[in-house]
Amino acid sequence: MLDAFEIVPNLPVLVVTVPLIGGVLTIVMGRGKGPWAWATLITGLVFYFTVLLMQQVLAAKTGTISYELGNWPRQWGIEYRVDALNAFILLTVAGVGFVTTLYAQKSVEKEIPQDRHNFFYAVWILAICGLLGITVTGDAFNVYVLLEISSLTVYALIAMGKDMNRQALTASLRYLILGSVGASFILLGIGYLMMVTGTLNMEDMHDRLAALPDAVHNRTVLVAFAFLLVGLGMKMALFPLHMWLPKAYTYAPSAVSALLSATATKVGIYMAFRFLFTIFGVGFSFVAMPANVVLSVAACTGILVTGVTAVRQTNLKRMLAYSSVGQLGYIVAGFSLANVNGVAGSVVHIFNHAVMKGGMFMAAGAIMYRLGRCDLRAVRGLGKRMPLTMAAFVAGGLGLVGFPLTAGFISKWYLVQGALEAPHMWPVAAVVLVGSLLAVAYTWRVVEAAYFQEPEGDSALVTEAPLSMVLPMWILIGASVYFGVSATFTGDISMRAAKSLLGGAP
Amino acid sequence: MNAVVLIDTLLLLLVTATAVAIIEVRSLYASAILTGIYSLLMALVWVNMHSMDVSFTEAAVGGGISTILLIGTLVHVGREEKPIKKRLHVPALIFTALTGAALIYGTLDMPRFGDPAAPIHHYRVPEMMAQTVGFVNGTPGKQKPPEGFDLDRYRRFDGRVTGPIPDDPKDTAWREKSILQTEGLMVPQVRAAHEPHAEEGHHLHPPDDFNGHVPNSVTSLLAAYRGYDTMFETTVIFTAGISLILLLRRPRREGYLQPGAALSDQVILRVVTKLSIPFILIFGFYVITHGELGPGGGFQGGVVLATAFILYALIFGRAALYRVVPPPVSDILTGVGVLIYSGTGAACMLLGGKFLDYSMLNPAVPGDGESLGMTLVEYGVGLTVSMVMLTIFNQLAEERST
Repeated sequence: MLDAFEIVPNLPVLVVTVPLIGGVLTIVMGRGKGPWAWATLITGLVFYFTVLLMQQVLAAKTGTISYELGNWPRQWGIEYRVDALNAFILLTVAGVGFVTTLYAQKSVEKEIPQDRHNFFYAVWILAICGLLGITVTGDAFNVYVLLEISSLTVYALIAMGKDMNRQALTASLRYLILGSVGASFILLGIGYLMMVTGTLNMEDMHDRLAALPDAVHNRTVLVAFAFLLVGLGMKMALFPLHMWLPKAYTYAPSAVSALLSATATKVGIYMAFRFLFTIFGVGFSFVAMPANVVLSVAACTGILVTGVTAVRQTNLKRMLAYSSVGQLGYIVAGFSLANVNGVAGSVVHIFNHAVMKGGMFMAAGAIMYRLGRCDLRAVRGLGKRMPLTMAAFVAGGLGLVGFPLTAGFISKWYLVQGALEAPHMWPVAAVVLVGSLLAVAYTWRVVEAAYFQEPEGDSALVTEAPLSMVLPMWILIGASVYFGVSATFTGDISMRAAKSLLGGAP
Repeated sequence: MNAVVLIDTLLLLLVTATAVAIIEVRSLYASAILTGIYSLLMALVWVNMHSMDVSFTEAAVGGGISTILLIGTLVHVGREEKPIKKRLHVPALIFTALTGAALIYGTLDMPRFGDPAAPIHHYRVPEMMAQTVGFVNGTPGKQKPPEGFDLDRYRRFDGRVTGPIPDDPKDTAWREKSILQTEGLMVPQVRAAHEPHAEEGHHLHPPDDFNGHVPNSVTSLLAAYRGYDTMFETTVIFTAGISLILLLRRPRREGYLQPGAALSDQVILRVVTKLSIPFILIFGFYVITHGELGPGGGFQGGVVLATAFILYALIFGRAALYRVVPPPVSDILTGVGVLIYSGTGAACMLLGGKFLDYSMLNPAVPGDGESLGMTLVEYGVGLTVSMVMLTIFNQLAEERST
């Protein structure tokens, strides 16, 4: 039976169906280390598939790979369409997913009751499955269906956070309500677009919108555009629609915070790319409609406001959460410029921020694992007690600042260039620089506490976090340094993605 | 004003009134019942729009099981809403008003309801309809096969376009080489159905309703053309079930069951329940199986099946239900349904086709393979939906650990 089956042509669908089937099977993996080992196997396999897929995309003549599910023509059925942009995001999500699964073992053992590890990892794998499914598809409604899976799983994962006041439950409920409002807007937007175009395939939708006489004044299209902007803004935590994020990331289990900060909002931004650039097209979104003004103003305000808020936090995870909103602001500001450097900066920052922030949340989680809390008082003197963890945190922080030889520098280089090239957009460049100063301020507070203050209480007695936490942490932080020194791969891919986005359909 | 508009206006007024009542009543019990009424009214609106499948789902899921589950949650949260001071939340009011205004503004350039010229009707659907309501058996309402057309041979054709399709639409050489042509099957109706989307390597499915097995075009849309979406909708249900277990299930050491109330001393209820459960189950299976022919399918049928179990638990107690379906069994069965669905898709892929290309299941008669695949996945959906509904009910009814 298997002789007719080949892996390579089926890669796009394997990336999603392997975690789907694997996730479901997790519930029969027993109660010991079984579920975790299985999750590692599945996420590792998926990561391997995304690497293969990336190779295929780079080798493909047209630069895109299309896969029609059920062998139905794309206008009838669902098409998977992979180009440089989503192959890169897939690689990021699957890579970070795999590394955080490695990391999860110890912290999940401590934070989640033993008798439901199988269910926890099942939901965990399905969350990754949902995020990958959104990224790989070329069908607007398929995006929504997978969005449901990723949202539902993420609500459950956040709610598993363990602390005295069960704050995680309210944080999750808040996210559930706001996230559902956002998803409803997205669904309405897709529905309105389908009504006008008669199709759900993204590329087809773009062609049909372009053929529509006077799409700019079609009131149904306008409302669809506005709804999608609001819904996506909610999902990617764009200021001021980010209200759900800080609490959710603060109270979620440590491994979940690391996974989400690196992947969930990034996929939200990827959706924005697809809707704004691929479906509506640059001409509609950024020339006819003032999306660039709306997005860049929101993003820049977000960078400044959340930067200041982050400086005032004492809880490490909450500080990182506010910093995440700011960093997402950079990504949004980048693509709102709608020029090659800006969009490339935004794509490359999706990857760079994923590895940096993922690594930093892992460091915060390691402190949590040893001390049971991760506020600034707990960090005092940890530079000596947990040298590897604190070094990882500082290296990640330097990346957020945009220090040369870190990945963050590469992103900001593109962003500033893009901002200076675009007409009247120089304030964005200024905001990027001020944002970096704010990042210096909040990173410094941790450095000061960790290296220049004496430990107190139980902080004086702790030892370094276990290797199974430090190693994944350093894989991500190491990646952020490596891709800061040698940015050829990430830079090239991002440029390619930016050019194809700005050229219209993928 | 015609009757349809009149009925719609009346129904929508009632829907609005119900919605306002749901917000206004302080009793959560009343509010739960009102949501059931709301769904039932919406089901009628769908009937008026001739979308029977949507209506059936709304009635079964919205009017039926959701109401039961909402009432189930009242066990935990109490029957009365906490008294709150009513005051105007201005930002919320502005946001809601803006959204409402935008929704209405968006309708201004929408195609009129039922307009045959709307893109949704004329863009892809003609080809689809040529495929799903083709010429089968000369049943009323369908086209007869053309004179002298060999239907049996047509059903067995391997409809794969083998050569490259030229860009120039006038260049029809590919068509001459296709098996359809050499076998003498390329009649005008067939050509009309295939040509717009012919591409190299594509499977050209027989332009009949999957050999007469699936005349319900809603089912072929959900289970075949967009079967991949439906697979993930089933996964959404599965995820909801296991998330609830993750969050609410009592720790194992405390045991699954605390003695719950049962109504088993009520003779009439007991007898009526015992009598009706077999019929509910048969109806559930009927709805799943019959989904190819008329309104229904895995989602609705699964919900109907679940109600039989829930009814049993309500009357005879959850201890009795756990003897029939122990929680570990229902946990695993929720996953089995998704695995049936994804496994069917994977089998098609392992047989050399694309994921969920059901025709691979029976290469000799592709249309029969399609129909077999759809039946399999509908049962998968039914199993997951029924077991998840049962799980949700169990988790809500379970007393919380302290």
